[in-house]
Amino acid sequence: MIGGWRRSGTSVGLRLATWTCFLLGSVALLLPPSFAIWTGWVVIGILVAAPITRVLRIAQVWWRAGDRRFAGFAAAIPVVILAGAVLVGL
Amino acid sequence: MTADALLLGALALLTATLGVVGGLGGAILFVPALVLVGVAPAEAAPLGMLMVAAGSLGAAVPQLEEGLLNHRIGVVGELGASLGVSVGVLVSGLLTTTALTWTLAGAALAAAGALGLRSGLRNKPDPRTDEASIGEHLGRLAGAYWLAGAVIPYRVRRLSLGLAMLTLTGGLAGVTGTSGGYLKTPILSEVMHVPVKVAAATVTFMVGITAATGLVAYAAQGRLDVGAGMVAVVGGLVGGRLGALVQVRVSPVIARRVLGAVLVVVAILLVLR
Repeated sequence: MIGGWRRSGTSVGLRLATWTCFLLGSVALLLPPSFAIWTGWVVIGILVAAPITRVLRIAQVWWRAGDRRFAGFAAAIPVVILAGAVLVGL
Repeated sequence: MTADALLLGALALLTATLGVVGGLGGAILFVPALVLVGVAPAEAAPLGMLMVAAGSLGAAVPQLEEGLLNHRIGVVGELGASLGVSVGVLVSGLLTTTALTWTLAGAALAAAGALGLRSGLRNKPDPRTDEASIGEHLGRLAGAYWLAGAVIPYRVRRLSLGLAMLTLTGGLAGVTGTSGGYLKTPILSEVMHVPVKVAAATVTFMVGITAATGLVAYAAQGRLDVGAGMVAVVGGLVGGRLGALVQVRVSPVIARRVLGAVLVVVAILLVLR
């Protein structure tokens, strides 16, 4: 089980997202404000995209493994969040 | 870098570490701490959300590779909590903040009591399980984790009650604008019988989703201070990673005691805030 996740694209993607956020976030602290803002928005974009992408990736992995019920639950999370955002927005 | 930025970064690092070790998220400690050092509450809340998102991301890889977190429990729990958050935000205008704050503080104290009163380990090593079974199990809300040279299997109990409580927690979180992580971990651990270390790691995954949703809302409202936010992000990433490394080494009994003590602090902060 551990080895499966360690070798998985999920682990590699999360590691990449973590290091990108850390490096860009650190660089943003040293840059002039006009450049730092753009770098900062990229970091925030990654922080938002990472958990959503992770859940969708998990849904895909579980679907392929035949665990359709839990794949459905995982795929439903972005839908519930979106529906909630629309409801709250209205 | 200014002294203010260094203080912000240090607070983010410390609260992210505690947040990941205890499965609290950490905003419940970070936001009041920022307010205490002079940051306006309206600016502190989005910074707290950035710190939680960064802490969750920083902890993700170590927790994934140690087989501590259980995605299936997290996904099912977060579905209920997300539904609750939407309902909570919708009804937030109908309820008084004071009554809710006292409710949350009472819930935090009750959770601290439940964690502190229990002694020993609920889930015992099973000689029939081996290292290959560590992690989460296909098609079930169950798994196994590694503890002091032994494999400890576990499975979720009282699912309906736990999900109802997680949904209610989501509702309270939606009303009060917190991630509710500090209540989710005791619910998973004490109601659903998930080992506290697995519960904390799983809730760290769950609050990452909650924080992403919150960040979208704050960005839409134009409330994100990107400059100060990067200090919180860097502190949160380092603290999240550090917290995950500490979490692997700490014993479940100590983790439960620390979580209980932090929950008492949370209850006091809620009332003072």
